[in-house]
Amino acid sequence: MFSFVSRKITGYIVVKITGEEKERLINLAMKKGIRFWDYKKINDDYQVSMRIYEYKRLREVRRRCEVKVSIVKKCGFPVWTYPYKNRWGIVAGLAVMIPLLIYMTGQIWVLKVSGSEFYTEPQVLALAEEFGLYVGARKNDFSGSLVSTQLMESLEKTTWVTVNNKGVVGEILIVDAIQKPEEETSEDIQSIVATRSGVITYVEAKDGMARVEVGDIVREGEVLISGIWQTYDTWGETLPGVYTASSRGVVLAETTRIFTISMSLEETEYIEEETYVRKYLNFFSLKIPLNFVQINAGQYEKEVKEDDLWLMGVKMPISIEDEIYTKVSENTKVLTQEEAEAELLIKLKEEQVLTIGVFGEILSEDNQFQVYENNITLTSNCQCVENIGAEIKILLE
Amino acid sequence: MEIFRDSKIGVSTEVIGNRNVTVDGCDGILEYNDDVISVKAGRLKIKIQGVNLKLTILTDTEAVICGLIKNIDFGF
Repeated sequence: MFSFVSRKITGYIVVKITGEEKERLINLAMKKGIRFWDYKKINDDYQVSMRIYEYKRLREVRRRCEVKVSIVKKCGFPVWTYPYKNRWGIVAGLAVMIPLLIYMTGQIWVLKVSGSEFYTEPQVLALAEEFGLYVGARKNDFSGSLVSTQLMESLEKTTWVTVNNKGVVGEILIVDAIQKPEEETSEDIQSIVATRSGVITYVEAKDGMARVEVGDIVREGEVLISGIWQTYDTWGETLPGVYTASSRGVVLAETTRIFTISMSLEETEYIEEETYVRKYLNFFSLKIPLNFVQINAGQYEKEVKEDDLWLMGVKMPISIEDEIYTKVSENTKVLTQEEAEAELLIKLKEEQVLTIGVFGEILSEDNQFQVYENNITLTSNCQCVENIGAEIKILLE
Repeated sequence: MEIFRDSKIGVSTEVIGNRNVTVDGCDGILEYNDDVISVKAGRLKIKIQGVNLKLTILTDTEAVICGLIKNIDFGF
């Protein structure tokens, strides 16, 4: 292997030896220390490989034998670089590029943090910088295992931190600790009261004493599930002592709600006209423009797209960035009443879901539209079922 | 398998299976064909016969011959 590499570096030629005294030439060359390899016999001729710098010495031997030596093939680094020997620019470029490439690839250029919900990326990066891991850090100047140990000690809400180094990309992988669930404190005494007036349709008291039944009419502020109560024995007599609890439960009631939504009949829409694209090459931290596009005055929407270069699953610090400028102009559109009503109904549904929550249900609705100047108003009178219970704490002295 | 070693002559011939022959103390080649390769080693003339014979290495002291070797003759 070593000889193969050294031959490629120093260069070699394949020569054809023809004539009567071929063996004599080989023997004489051998005595002179000229080394041949890859002996082949092609018809009556010999074909051997030899180093380039030994060819002149072979010519001296050749004069003593009745043979003809001709070069068949030239190989190796000197042969490949021979056409470029007067092109100093290429040599200088290589001389600059290779050390620069070695230097640049010896640093961390991209640092990614993933896996943590408790800590933000800037927090982790700031901490990692204290331990010597930052964008631009030399790879030899920090130890990944040491940094991961230090990060684990500093970040309390983690179980494991790994620092990986893939080329010029550093990755900090964090595994969050699973937090112990908080126990529900039973010390707070609380009741559930009605937030709206209505007719009770469903009561479920998970803790506490239910004070209402299905069919009862309740008013806003009335206690639905009580956190303080007394118990009775089988004869209906009050037992001594007061029971307390942190009331929990669901109380659904049929209520009435009025939703009012209004909107303008005139709608502004943006029309896209022209698009300009500015291209940039992001090379490490440099941003090099690839084209020069002049953008005239006006209102534009800017969008940035970045194509990263990936090599064997590793993101390289080289990317093509497109800045897309789209010229937009405003256009006022007048909606018809049907269009406006359809839009208002969609907004009404969104408002209803937000207001009555997941337990809620709309039983019936009476919608009325009213147009005034450029505005349209929807008034909806709804019969709905919703959770009207709200927890309030009871303070005892 | 080492079949011949003579320290006085200074030649050693090493045969590996029937595929490879190394002649240490070789002074030069006398004949080179696909079927026959003859080398000179001191006073010895070693004639190797076979099929598809090839001289892979030849230095001032050593010759390595590969191929399907059928016969090796030692003569003076």
